Amino acid sequence: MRKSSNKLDIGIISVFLTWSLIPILWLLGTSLKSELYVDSIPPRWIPNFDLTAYKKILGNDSIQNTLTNSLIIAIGSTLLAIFCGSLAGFALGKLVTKRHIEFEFWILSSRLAPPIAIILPLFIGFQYFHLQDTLIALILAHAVMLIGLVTWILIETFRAIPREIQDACEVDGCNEWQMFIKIMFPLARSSIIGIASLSFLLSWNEFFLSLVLSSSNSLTVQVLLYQSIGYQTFSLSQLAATSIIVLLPTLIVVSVFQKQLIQGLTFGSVKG
Amino acid sequence: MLNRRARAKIYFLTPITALLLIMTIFPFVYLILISFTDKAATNPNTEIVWFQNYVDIFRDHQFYQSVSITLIITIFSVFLQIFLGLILALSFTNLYRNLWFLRAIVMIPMAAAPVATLFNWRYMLNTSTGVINYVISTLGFSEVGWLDSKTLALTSIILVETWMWTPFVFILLTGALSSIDKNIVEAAQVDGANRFVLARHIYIPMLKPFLIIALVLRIIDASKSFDAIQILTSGGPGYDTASYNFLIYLNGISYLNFGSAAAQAVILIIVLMIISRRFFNRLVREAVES
Repeated sequence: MRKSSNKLDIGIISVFLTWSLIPILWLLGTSLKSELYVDSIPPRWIPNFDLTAYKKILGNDSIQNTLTNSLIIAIGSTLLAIFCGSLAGFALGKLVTKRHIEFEFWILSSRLAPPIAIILPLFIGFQYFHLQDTLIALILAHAVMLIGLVTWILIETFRAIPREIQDACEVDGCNEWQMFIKIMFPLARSSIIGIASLSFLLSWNEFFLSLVLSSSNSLTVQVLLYQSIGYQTFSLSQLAATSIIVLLPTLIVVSVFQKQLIQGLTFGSVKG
Repeated sequence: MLNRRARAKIYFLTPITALLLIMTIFPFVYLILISFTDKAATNPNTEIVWFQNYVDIFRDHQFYQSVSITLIITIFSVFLQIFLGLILALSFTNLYRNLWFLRAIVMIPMAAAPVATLFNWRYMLNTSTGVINYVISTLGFSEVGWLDSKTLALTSIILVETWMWTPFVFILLTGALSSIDKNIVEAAQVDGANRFVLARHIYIPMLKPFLIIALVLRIIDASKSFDAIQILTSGGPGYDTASYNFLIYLNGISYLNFGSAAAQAVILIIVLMIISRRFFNRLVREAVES
């Protein structure tokens, strides 16, 4: 009885893993094929492990520039979101006696609202202030996308720090700022590193805001990849190689920061 | 006269408030203002037209078409995600092991860069060179124009969205299932409950609040999904896969009709705010109770 039902479970899980992984493996395979085999019929199932596409892509100026842009934007927006989010998380998680529900909802609503609604005014506004197509504009836009999530998780993180620690600080006569810098922030460090990695990943993966706000100077690698699909600037195996490079941060975050990834993506409704 | 703590609180909340004011509140107010004008890149003299944009939306047949497309994509893809996510979560729970490595693999479609995975789907779904059609034709069926007709293009978008977001439902539900009391399950098994009885009478009732969270979050996100439509079909053929969200993008960003797109966006925000407000109250109530 027990055995047969386990077989069914293993079957379901295997089918699902296959369905999840095959597209990714196919992409990896494509990136490792010579041009000749990429869309041959019948398809070449096992790639011939040709690394030309990777060499070409990594040596390409526009790829290098957009990878750098994506990196700067992801780091910049993550730092900004963590800065604002940890201050707010500490204030709302530790300095209040009862929850500021309205304020928390306001912060969270920045995550639930449709990006299309702020992108139109930002698109017009950035033009007006000559910020269009700058890294600053993209860092700001991405930080806003991240801040709801970051703050939401950090409020919970700070709230979970025992009340006694806060009391002990107060007895020792430290003010709120010292309490934050010297005690609370270090105590929340592991959560903060996790949520920062998730923020980095979300900004790195972001497509819509970048598509609208960046055109040449601040082009991100995601938008470049998208444009290349349409204009066929790169061959299929080069596109696949770029995709694989773009996927690398995902693999790191998924394996190292699984807990925070789960917590962050489900709004803290699951502890991970 | 504020005491020190209240002052500190204000300082700590200043950065986030400033960021959200500049980047969401001002833009939102501006959005509402231009929704009453005929502002457009092609129109040098912006004039106030009051509710004309709103009236025009409801007169436009494309509005109804795009809303129905949004509903089709949202209902089918969210249903499939919840259904498959639930089955998978129950299977993982039945195995009683900490399969963090498998969990990591399951999460990849959701965490991976959408442009990369969607490009790959487009390439696999290609009618003449795609690997999916190759497999179908070797099995003796005729080739399918996955992205060429309305029904098939919508089906493809729904399947790809399901591929991408089932993991979300799965991790939410496994998280919830891991907190279930093992003794109850074992007691039920001693009484002869099989997997279906367990699922029906123990797991699913216990998961109900989490199923609702998953449902609401997925509905909110699916209704504004953009990436899959943009990369797989660009709204085509024609406007056959242009969801409401996508239509606003075309109207405002591609055609630069700011006023009329703003009015469309305001309507979307109002609808989503109503859904998310109810949802948020629920989340807070649960957080306070726990």
